[in-house]
Amino acid sequence: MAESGTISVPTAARRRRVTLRIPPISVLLLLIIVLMCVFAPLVTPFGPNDVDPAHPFAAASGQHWLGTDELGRDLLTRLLYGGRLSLTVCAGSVVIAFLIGTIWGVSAAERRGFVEEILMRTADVTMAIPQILFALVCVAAFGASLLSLTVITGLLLAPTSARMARSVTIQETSLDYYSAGIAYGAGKIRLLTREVFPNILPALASQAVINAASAMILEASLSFVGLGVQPPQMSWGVLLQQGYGFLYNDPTYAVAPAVLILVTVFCLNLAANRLGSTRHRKVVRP
Amino acid sequence: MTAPVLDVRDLQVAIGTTPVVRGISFQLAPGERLGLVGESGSGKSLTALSIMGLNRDPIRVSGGQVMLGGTDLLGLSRAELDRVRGARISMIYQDPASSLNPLMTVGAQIVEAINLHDKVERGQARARAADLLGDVGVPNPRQRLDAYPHEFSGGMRQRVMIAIALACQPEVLLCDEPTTALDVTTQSLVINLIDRLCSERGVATVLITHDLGVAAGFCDNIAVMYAGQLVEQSSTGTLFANARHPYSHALMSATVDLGVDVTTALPAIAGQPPLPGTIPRGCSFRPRCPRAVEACADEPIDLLSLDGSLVRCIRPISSDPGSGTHPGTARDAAVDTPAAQERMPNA
Amino acid sequence: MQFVIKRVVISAILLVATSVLIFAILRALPGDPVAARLGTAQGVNQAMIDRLRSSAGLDRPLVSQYFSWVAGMTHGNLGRSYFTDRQVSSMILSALGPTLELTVLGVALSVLVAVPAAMAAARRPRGWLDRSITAIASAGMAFPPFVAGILLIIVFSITVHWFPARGFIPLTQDPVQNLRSMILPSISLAAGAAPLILRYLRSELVTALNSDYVRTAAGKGAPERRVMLRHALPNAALPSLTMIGLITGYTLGGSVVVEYVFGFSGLGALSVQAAFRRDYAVLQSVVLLISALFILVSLTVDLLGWWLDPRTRGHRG
Ligand SMILES: Nc1ncnc2c1ncn2[C@@H]1O[C@H](COP(=O)(O)OP(=O)(O)OP(=O)(O)O)[C@@H](O)[C@H]1O
Ligand code: SF4
Ligand SMILES: [Mg+2]
Repeated sequence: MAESGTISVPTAARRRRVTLRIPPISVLLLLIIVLMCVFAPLVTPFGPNDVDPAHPFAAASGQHWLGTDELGRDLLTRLLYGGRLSLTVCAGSVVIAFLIGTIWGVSAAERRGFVEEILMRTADVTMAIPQILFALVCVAAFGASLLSLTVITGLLLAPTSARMARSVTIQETSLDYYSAGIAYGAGKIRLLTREVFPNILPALASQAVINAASAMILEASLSFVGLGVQPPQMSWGVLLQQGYGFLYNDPTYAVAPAVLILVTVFCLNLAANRLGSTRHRKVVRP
Repeated sequence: MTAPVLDVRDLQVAIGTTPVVRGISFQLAPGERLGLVGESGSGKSLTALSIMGLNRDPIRVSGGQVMLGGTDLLGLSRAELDRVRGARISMIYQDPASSLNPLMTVGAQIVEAINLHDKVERGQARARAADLLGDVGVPNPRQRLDAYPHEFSGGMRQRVMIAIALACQPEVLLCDEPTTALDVTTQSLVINLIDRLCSERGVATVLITHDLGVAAGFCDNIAVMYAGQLVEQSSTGTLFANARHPYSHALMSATVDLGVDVTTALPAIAGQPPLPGTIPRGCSFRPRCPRAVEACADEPIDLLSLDGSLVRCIRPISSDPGSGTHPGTARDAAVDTPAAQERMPNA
Repeated sequence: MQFVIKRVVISAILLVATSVLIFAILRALPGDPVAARLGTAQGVNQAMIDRLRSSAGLDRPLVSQYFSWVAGMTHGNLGRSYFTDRQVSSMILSALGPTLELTVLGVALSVLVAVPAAMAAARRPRGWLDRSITAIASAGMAFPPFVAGILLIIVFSITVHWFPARGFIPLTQDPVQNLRSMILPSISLAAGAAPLILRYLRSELVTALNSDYVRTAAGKGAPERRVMLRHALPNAALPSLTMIGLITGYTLGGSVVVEYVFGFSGLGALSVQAAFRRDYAVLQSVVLLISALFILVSLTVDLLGWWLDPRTRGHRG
């Protein structure tokens, strides 16, 4: 078969091998964490708010794998239910950052000159304020509901995505096929969505995974200082704060959410590295 | 012949596990100038860098000896090698633009070269550095000591490199295409400078070059490299008048008016030099050789002496100037036996 | 010189834009600080709210509010807290110490750890030492400052009693105790910050060690140590200076939660408190001040890099 005009095509065989490979441990671990949170009621017999005042700060046992908190609630159960919220904020903000960042960055790359200047300088300004402080300002202004937290976190991460999207789009549109496509009268939007987007997707995806780690940290930080999710709702950050209050009584209480946050962030970083390094070469069609 | 200052014995260099320099041997008498010529990729730079012990991963010396005076440089520890490099043997590199530290003044870099081997006091070292800078023809040497490399032109930077290389009066100077990165007018100035300084100080020199004209004017002897081996070595006059190896012969005849670049000067020889790792069995030049016979493929060809030259060919070109295209008088009688003649396709 | 002017102007514009952004978010949006303050109190009537609003200047147009904030800033008057009625400037002044010290120590510690580690790693790229250091660095990057802080407290304050778990002791009061109280917080910040410098510097060092001028230095007979310290490190450090700016931003942001963990009453804690109380007067100034510090440090390191590089600075310019 003639492969004229093709730099390198990931063949069907190669693709299959990639998908058949066992996912890396980081991804497996993330999957386990997510599934356990989603199916929390199946994993644990307790409810997140089932109190047992007779057994506060119980040590880990066959019944309570991670022990109980100050009201005798099962810690593991609370972590799993809390994880639902943490992961929701995380996922929601990643989607928001992805959508806004991609449109932001691609338009900047597409409309070089004035529009690009405006768009990218806006990104600079938002990045001149340390993220967590920016978040404080927004939370003070908008309040701290699940929705507002998700939106705020998403907006905060968007400029980073926009920068990445802009640089990969500029790289991609400088390739021959793009200018050739334009010269042959192909619509810009069509070219961008059909040809450019699939090729920059791996880079954007890698950035999105990094964003997920940042979102996780941001949400946990806000909840930890009491400006995020408000009890009785709970997230890992909230649980960490509650555990922090009982550091001297029962370190496990704080260590458990801390370790979960750590493991999740670490796995996300590893997964992002992997995604970033196994980018396919671009496919160039005649 | 007096004892050689530099005696390279069967030097082998590999990139990873792929041999690239495959057994180079040569000797350098005190004050001698040896030219090392050959196409791009033939392993000239790797040879020089290996002599200096400057190879970096994944390139490493895989065999041989480099005797400087009585010591084998390849057997020295890093600390011992540091006492030799820059003091007894120095090197000038191809690209003067990147070979000087951009953040240090030129003076500091020359003073460093002096102080690493000669612990003289600061004012004295600076005075010596200024003298050196003057010697290599940099105007206003005292002021220029405080200038940074980017404030020099390419030719001036290469002069600084020469000053650094000669700072401690080495016995041997290796020059790896010292003028390739310079413009044409500067090239001859720099070569003349090296020429003059090396004669004055009696420094033995290896000059790696693409420019056969430069080699002709500068060198006492020339070694021709092909695919990581020497294929011919003889005195400059002999080589130009009478190259015996088909490869060097093609080089020389393509360079009638001298001054032609080896990289581009091989219209007479079709084809590409073999890549490391894909070198053919027997004679490595065989695929491109107009004189090749089946016997050339049998086994590695040895470098043998022939009328005062060293030639790696079983069918060298005749020493008779007019008959270069005929089968030559072979050093090896076996080639001219009827059996061997039969194996030649067009004999 | 052109570079310096351009850089300074850009930073100034950035600062102004930042102040507009902070102000806009806090004012243009729903939520009234006065109502928030009085909301739970009994017997609040509209007259009281209006009086408070006008005394805080909240009844004036937004643009005029913005300019009076900025104008006040130029002579150190940042207005009064809506909540405590204290001068914002004096609140900030008393909170500045812990945050500055934390930031300086956090950045210093990061550099102190990252530079030698980067040199050790870059000596043999992909060697076992390089791999171990890189692995530790990626683990460190997963430690958000507050998680690191809590774990450190559990280990070093609760399990073994080496360092205090909470509280800031001013340097002027007791330098030794001050340092003891700063150690865990600084490590919490450096855990995430040092890997950022390390990664960047390491890759710059690998490039430098592969450069021609390093080969020249080795060819002169310079020992490995000297090649590294005199030739490779300066050339690698120069582009890595930008990372100091980045780390400062990270550290300033991290101090918000780290101060909370260690019970410091610094700018971070002040901003959290102000956000809680919707005390916009305090919040806007604190956040702007921290952003200004970040912008200033980034500008400084950029200019420092420009000045240290003879190619950009020009000959003895
Ligand atoms: N760092 C390296 N990594 C991989 N291969 C290398 C490296 N340096 C040199 N080589 C290969 O080794 C072979 C010999 O290189 P060398 O630089 O010695 O050639 P040369 O004769 O000096 O050529 P030139 O005239 O172009 O300088 C070439 O095939 C080259 O591609
Ligand atoms: S040995 Fe044979 S192939 Fe090689 S150069 Fe001589 S004649 Fe040519
Ligand atoms: Mg070379």
